Amino acid sequence: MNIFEEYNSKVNRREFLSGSVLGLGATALSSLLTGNEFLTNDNNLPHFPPKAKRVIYLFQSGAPSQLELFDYKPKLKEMFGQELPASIRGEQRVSGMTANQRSFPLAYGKFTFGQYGQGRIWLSDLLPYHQQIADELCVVKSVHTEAINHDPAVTFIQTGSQQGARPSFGSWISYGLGSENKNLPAFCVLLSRSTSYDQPLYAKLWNNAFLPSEHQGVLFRSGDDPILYLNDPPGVDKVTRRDMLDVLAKLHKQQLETVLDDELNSRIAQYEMAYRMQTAVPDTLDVSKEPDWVFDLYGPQARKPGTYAANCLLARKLIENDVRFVQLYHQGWDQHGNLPTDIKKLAKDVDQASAALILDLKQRGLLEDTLVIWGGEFGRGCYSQGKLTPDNYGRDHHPRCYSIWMAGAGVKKGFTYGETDDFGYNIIKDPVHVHDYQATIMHLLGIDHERFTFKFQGRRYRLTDVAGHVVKDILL
Amino acid sequence: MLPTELIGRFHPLIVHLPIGILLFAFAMMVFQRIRKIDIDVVIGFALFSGALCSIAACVAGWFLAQSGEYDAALVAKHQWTGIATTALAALAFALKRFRWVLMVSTVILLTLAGHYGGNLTHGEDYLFPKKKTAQSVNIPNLDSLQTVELASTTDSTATNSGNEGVPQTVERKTFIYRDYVVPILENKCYSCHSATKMKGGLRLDTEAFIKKGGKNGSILSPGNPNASSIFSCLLLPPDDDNHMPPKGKPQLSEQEIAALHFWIKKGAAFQEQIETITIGAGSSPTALAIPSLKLAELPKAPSADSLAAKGSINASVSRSSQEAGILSTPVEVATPAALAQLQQNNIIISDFGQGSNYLMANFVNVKKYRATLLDDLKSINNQVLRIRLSNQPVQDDDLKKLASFKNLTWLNLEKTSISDAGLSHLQNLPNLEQLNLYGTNITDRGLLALPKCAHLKTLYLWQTKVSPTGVEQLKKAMPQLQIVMGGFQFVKPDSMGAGKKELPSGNKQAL
Repeated sequence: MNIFEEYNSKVNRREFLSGSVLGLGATALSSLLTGNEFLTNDNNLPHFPPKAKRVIYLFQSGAPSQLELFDYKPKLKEMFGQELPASIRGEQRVSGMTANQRSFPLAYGKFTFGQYGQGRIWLSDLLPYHQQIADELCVVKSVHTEAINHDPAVTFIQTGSQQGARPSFGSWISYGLGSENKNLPAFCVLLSRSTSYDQPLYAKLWNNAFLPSEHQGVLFRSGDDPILYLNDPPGVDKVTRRDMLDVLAKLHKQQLETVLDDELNSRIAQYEMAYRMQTAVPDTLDVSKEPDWVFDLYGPQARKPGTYAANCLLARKLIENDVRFVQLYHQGWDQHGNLPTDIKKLAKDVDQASAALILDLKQRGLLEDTLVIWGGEFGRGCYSQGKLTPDNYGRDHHPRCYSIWMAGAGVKKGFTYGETDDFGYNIIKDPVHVHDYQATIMHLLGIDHERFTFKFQGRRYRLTDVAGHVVKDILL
Repeated sequence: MLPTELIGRFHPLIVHLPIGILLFAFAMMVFQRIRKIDIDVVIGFALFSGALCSIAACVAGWFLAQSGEYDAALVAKHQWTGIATTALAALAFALKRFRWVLMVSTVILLTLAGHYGGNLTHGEDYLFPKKKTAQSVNIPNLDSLQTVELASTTDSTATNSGNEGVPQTVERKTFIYRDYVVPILENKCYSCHSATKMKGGLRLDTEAFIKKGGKNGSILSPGNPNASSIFSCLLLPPDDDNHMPPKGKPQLSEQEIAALHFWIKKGAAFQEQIETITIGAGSSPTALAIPSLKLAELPKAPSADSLAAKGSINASVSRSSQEAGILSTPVEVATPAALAQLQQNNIIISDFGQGSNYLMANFVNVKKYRATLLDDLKSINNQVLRIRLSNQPVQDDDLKKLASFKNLTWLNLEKTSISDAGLSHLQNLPNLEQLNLYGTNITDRGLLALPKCAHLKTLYLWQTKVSPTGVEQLKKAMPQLQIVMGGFQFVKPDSMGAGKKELPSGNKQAL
């Protein structure tokens, strides 16, 4: 972006110096060379033809157990109650919750697995609806992360750093690719009601951090008023609102001329977006006109605003309106105890609606260029946390391996990638680090993750920090 | 282009300043000694400016080296001699006492650095060209070929004597492999694919190894350059993982690519070929003309993604081959005026990435659709590959305006007002791959127009008036077409066993 142009040739000291050091001609020239100001974004993105134009990220917060859902390990059944061999665990540090356990007995529930679809994908009977869309799924069983606790792990997969204060995935994409629909935010966040709540979710997970603040995820709440303070207060009509915004924009621009703070531009953009959203949001979110078969497909829960199923339906409606990045969060997977009973409830929450979303996108032709991702922040261990009985056990955090799935634009269908050992403890084939996973999704969106950077406090930042390789084997 | 890249390009210009200034400073030192006059101030100034310019040249050179267009080893030599020269020149300015020693070394290093720089620009054999032998021929100049031996079948003196004007038959011996292919491989490929290094399990240094191929199988298909990855990998975009030689290594010139193409096309012979040719009157018999290739006109190499998907470098069927093919054919850039006009009308235009002038048009923001908007779009008809008209009241006649969009690959017409009559206007779109008609009034009759779009791959017909018979007929006419009828419903888990059920869209009561 040409800073000279942006500030109407008012330059501050640092910009002036860096501009003159790099050659005055270069700045003028760069404005001629950097693409076209009439295209959707000014970052010169994508780098190459994208496979995916939109993303739906069904985030399963709390870490679903891969061993009960996707990663079939008959060995655990065979060795039920026996000690996890020390050679498998190796030097692995376990969380404080099981570090003091005297024994690590291998745990296995009474769930059966089967292979589904042409790709013979392993799925447990906790996911009967997933079984019916197995031909669309690309299951990656070898994702691994660096953090062992929820907050750093969620922050890591969302922002590429455990420490936070970095932009969320959706913010990067919003900043990089912009929005096609001018009346809806590029990055929408849907929190869903769960049957159980464990780990909290913070707004920092969909924060823009150092990116301009219009790229912050816009949170849609469950209920009648999905976006707080979007509606005009009583007594304020459209004309008054418009006049007020015009005057406000004028004031902001005046201030901008004196303080040159880019955040003011963001503020102007956000006010304008909110104004346009006043009509677009109720139209888009209105599910009252959806026919009955929709609720048969997504499940009866979809009629209840704020449920996972209702949010999957909303995600489809947002994507239909060309929203770039929809992120859904579902809490409650952190099953340290009572796992066999609790995981049934959670699986029931998400199974049908997740699968329905895929089919619904498919019949509308949207699955061709929309990528759907389902997964949590890490996996769960193969040994029991707490007392192990045939009917009850718990599983502790396990960052060394876990399963996610993707479906849609540009990824292989009916495909399984990566392998873990017989205990589901270590990856033995094709590991996918969180940064690899992020790089791959960026690649599907036509972005070279190494070239997509933002300079902040003297350093160029990127979502994948200094790592990440595109997992080409799962791409079509 | 990045500003740093631009600065890099100035290196060859800036670099001559320190060369001149420092040499002149040295000349002045000699002059001072001979004439015994005091010009220390001037020499000091010259050394100062020389050192300063050297630093500038180093900086620019650094940026230029980042382009990766040069041989890394040679760059390193040039870089370090250059930096050493700069350091010595700066010392010579600062330490007056050792100025003579320092300046003599500066001049020596300067010469060396200059020589390496020259090698980088003009090639290592520019100054002292190697003698041409049969084994190590330099990259042949294809315009004036010297290595072809000729023997006239009739009279060996005939060509030179009085027979001019009469067409004659001659026997021509060519050894394309030895004379053209080997030198190219030697210069551009051996560093990674020979006895010392066998990347991808591939060696290119003998006939047997070339025929054997690498770990991804055979690389040579005589007579068919595009099916030979030894050739097709050269044409992939530089960013592609399978592009050869890899980014940063010296690339093949267009002539060299043409030579490889010619060799494979002619059967990829590893022996000398003897052919009988007829030479027209007056034409020079000595030239074996290798037809020059226009790279843009070559059939497109498959994209890396599709190669990776097949796990084999030889597999070449990409799912969106039509679009990929168009994308790799150059097109002129859309005019800013046209784009501004479209932007004004709320038509969102996005592109396919850097270096591509192709575009996608999305009408999602259009509040008041009118047919004239499609006229505006015509100003970029060659650039547009995808149009999304979803939910707009598009009429049948509007689709006539799309006839000139020859490159159109994706068309979204779902939930528009079109009917069968409209589809007949689409039959002139030769590259159409994906057509979304869901939620329209299309019937079986409309589908009859579709087989004209030979490359159609995916068709969405959910919530249309198409009947199962119509679909069957279309499937017969277009077996490769994937038809998505939609209307999916799940089998309830308690009645599990069957897969998902696909309801025919005519079965409306089920929806």
